[in-house]
Amino acid sequence: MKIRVLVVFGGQSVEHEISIITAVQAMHSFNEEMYEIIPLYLAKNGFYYSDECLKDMKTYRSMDVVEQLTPVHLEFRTQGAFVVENKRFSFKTAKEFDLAFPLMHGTNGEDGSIQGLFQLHQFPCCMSPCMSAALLQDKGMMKEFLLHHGLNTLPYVCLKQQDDVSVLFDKIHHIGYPCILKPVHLGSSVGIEVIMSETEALEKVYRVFQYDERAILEPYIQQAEEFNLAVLGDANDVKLSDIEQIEKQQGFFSYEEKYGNHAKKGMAYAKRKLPALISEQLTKQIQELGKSCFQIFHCRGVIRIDFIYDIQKEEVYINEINTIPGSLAYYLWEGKGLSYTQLLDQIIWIERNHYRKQQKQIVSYESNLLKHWDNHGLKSGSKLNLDF
Amino acid sequence: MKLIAINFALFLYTYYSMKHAIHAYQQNRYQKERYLFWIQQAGKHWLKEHLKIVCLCIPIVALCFISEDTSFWLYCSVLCILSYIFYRMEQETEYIQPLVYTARVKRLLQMCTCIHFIIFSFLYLCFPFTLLLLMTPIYYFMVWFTLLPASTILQPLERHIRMFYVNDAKYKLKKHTQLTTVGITGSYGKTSIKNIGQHFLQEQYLTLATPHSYNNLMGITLTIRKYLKTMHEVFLCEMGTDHAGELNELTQLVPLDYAIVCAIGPQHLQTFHTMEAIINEKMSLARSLDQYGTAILNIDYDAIRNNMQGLACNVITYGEHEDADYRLLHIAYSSKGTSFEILHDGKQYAFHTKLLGKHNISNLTCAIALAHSMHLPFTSLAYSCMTMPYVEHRLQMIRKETYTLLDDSYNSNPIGAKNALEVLKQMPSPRMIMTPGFLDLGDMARQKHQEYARQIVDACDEIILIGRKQCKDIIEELHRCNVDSSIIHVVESTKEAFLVMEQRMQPQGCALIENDLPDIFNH
Repeated sequence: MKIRVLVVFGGQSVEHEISIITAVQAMHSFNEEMYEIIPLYLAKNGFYYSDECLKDMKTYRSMDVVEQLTPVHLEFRTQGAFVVENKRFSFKTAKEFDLAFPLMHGTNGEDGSIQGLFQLHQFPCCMSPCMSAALLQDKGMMKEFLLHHGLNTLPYVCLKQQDDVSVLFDKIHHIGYPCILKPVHLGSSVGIEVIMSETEALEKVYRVFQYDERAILEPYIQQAEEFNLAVLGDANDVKLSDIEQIEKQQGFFSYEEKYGNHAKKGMAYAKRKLPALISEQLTKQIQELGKSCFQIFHCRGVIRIDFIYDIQKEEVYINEINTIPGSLAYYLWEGKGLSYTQLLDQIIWIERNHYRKQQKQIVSYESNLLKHWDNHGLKSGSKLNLDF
Repeated sequence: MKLIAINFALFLYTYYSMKHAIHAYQQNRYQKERYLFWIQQAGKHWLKEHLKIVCLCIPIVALCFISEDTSFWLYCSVLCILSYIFYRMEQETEYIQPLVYTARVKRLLQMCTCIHFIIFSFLYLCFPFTLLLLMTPIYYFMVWFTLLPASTILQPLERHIRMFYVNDAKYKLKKHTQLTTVGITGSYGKTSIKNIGQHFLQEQYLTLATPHSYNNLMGITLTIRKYLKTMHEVFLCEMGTDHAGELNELTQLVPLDYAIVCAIGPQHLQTFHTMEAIINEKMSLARSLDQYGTAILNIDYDAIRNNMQGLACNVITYGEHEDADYRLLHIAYSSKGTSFEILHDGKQYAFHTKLLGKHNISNLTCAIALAHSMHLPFTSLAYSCMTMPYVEHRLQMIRKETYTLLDDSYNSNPIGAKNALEVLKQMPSPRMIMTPGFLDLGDMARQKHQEYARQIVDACDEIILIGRKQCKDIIEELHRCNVDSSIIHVVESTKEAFLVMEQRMQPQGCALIENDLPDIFNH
């Protein structure tokens, strides 16, 4: 009997399309003998759709095709979880699934909300849990946590929409120019601005506030290199991928430059070295940082950590952590002999293992405290005796 | 109009009686024989309980002397008032195990109502109204018996519904090719082994166990249909039997890879009639396995040891017996729990648990044998043993402010009770017991209750017995042993027993709650 995997993707996020790419890639890479894939697409119009055609990239060329499908909803029953068609009178089909696999990027998905939905129903959901995903989606909270644990990350200040102009300038001066401004919740370079001087500062700050009400500001390293590392595992066992080296070109990659139609500056055109040609000492440093990150945030499944390396200072910093990385960072594992299919298999195995352990935990007491509590309100009731 | 009115009034009047009858029928597992036997046993006590109902009907006689037109409506009104009184009485009654309104119960209620409608209509149309009036108390009791034809009429439908669910469960199991199935049977200890087994196996396999004490065909069917998921790797299935052939029916539903027979004792002698029949039935679980299956047997029981020859499957034995593959040794109790050792393949492995009582340690050994044969290492099992929580109401130690409570209310067999009393004996004095005795011991009831009484005398300083009739043999034996009657308290309900316990309990003492029968059996 195949395990029925619900692949959840799309979502109300600026990285909606990236999520579709990741999901379609993944849906074609699952081991068909072991898994039955049920796509669940959360469209931009807020409806869920589930149909075989959602496994095909062509479907997404026009949203009209998607919107012709019957919307569905999730139902959690005692027998299990189901994807049920939103029909009022006619025959409704209900597809049961055993496990959820979220492949959403950015806000309203990667931020722990999708994991939270399944966690609420004690249903197995792959990848990092709600708490880790939520913490890591907020760049401010992530940096706070990293600094608390003494892990290398660039100094930062947090700018808020409600800050006065004088406060904003104070904070910017504290970091100095040039500096880089990032919305706290967005990824894939969305909304990022580099501030070179005081004259353009305010305009850029307010532009970033259009995406998010909080932003972090950190020094902009001009002579830098970027390293990516993927980590796979759970609390008991952690595996590290090869390190990828991306030579930084002039400026930084905007969203359009990374993924757009004319992405000549984009990810595919960046000079990449896999594995990175770096010293053993730097490799070790990156690996240790990666492992510590994975463990202190209690991550699960696969994550990708982006590092930034200051060539002048010869210092490496944790820049960003993705709990649902684009393409699940499968390309970083190929050198380790792990194919995309095997990677997906391992992620599911990790979740099954975690779910099994979770079943052992005490989540409620069998005895009902209210069994003999026959007073109809607290007024007439005596103080509850909790000495059991 | 009058026909409908009289039927409606009589429906209201008989509703609670009908509910009580169905409640008793449900607690007797919808088995007519058991239900009739229970009526026979509890008959007098039950009639006495309901005599006040007959008294309430006396004023109705006065209606015979009024003209029929007036008396008809007066009669209907009186019936409605009576039904309101019954309703109030029902509101004040507390049940340990209330009636569960399952679909089957609802069907039974509807069918009983239909039968009553026919009977009442017939009486009203064919006989003088005075006769109908005078028979009012009989209607109240009649519903206890109309339940039987109602159940007989519904039988084909019930069978059909059951078969639909059973086949659906079978189909679901058949699709689940990678599932390892474990069947657990025995006169006692099944639920504990299942709970302990799940705790152990969950370390390595995603394990589903039948919830609560679901151990019959419908309970297992419901578990499979409702809870079994594709991701489950092991299914621990408690299999109960109270009549010959039941286990065969269960193994046809769930073909087993492992079969555990943990104990054989005189349970359900009433339906099995002989010990041989019980042994034959329990061992049929092991016989259902082919050469790829594994039977795990407790050879401390002669009945099991002498009947394990000729099994086609692999056999693993456990117990204190010297021939056991997993031999239980050196059991030592302390205030922190129990320590014991298991000898396997010439090596000894030490374990510690907070569970108490020899039967619990035997159950642990069984679960260790199962888990070890499913490739769990002893180190992991020792850790699981240490973290094994108390099984609720199974000799569970609860520390109260001034005294200790040993809650063994789910135990319902003499051996478990003997072990519990042995644990109680090691507790500080004064020691108290609260028990209603046992059910389903057939011809051995008297002998077992007498033995039980002697064990109580040996271990307890204060005795609370629930149900004078139910505990008759215990009381007689206690008097024969010259026990001071001031320390014997006989009460009629569990609630009352708790009140006496609270009153009589002294600081630093220990109280044992042994067995907790549903209300209908406390008489």
